[in-house]
Amino acid sequence: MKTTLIIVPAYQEELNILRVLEDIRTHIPQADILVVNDGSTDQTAHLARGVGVRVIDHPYNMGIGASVQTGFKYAYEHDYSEALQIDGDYQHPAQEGPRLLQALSEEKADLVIGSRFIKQTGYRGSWLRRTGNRLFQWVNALVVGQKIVDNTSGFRAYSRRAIELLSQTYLGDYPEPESIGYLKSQGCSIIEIPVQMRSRPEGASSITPLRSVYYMVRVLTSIISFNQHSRR
Amino acid sequence: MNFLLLKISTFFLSVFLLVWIFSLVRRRLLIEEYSFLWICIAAIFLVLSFFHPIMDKVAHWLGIDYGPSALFLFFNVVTLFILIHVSIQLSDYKSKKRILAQEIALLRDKVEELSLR
Repeated sequence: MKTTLIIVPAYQEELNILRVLEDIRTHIPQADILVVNDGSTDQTAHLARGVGVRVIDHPYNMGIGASVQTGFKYAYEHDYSEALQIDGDYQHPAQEGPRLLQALSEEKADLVIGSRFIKQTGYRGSWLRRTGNRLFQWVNALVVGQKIVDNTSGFRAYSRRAIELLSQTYLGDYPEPESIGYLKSQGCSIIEIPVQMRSRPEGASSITPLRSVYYMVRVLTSIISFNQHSRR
Repeated sequence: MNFLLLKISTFFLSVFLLVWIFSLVRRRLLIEEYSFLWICIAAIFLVLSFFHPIMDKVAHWLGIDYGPSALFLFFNVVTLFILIHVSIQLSDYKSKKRILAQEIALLRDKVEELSLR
């Protein structure tokens, strides 16, 4: 039987975590949920436990890459056959989750990315963000050999094989674009489907113009290096 | 030109470096593994301070007119490599530290589950 783990990486999400969990339970009731609390100092973990959700606590803040990896390790050890990542900031609507999981099994893919840019899906993002994404698309198409429209989307479904590979690989602060290059190099198949996303409701996004330049350089470095690395 | 002052200062600098490194190792503030590099550097300085012509020859080969400039260049290059080396080690520690922290988190979850049985 298929078993699904929903991985919810969360850092300081006390304002969002409860509605994220409720949203998941409403739309994907058959799946187990794991909140990876990345060293939050607020009520995130407490609130999640309060509604009976399993929580793994990082002893200190390690970043999103470590958080999703902890989720993959848990999923791998507990023999889940597939995983769905839904971020703890309420950006990813759980009602789109079943479509991602369906695509995973129907297309026999290892990674299904819920993409914001394939069709008009309501999400536009800032001019800078769209330009940055276009740059990632171009670089990824070049090094990965597949056009990925939304490299930075964290709304994704993973196969057992992807879970295994990613549980053993160091992903840095930008795990989404990194993992695309890595999985592709391991012969995994990746598909994208369009999804609706919400814009961040509570708390500001950490991306400012100056930071996005820093962000772009770092992400590009990781995309390129991951592909070089895997060719060896 | 008289390089006596340079010789003396380089000599004292390298002796100071050696004594300092040894005392750090002795007090366990620096593990022996990492002292090696610094001892080598101190030794190179010591040699250069005594055998000044080596520096001039090297400078000449490199097309540098002024001997002590070659020393600066040498030191800058060495520092650059050491810094990269330190970054590599830092990366290694960071990824190992992450594995340990994740193991702890996953084990704690298991312990809690077992204690509830």
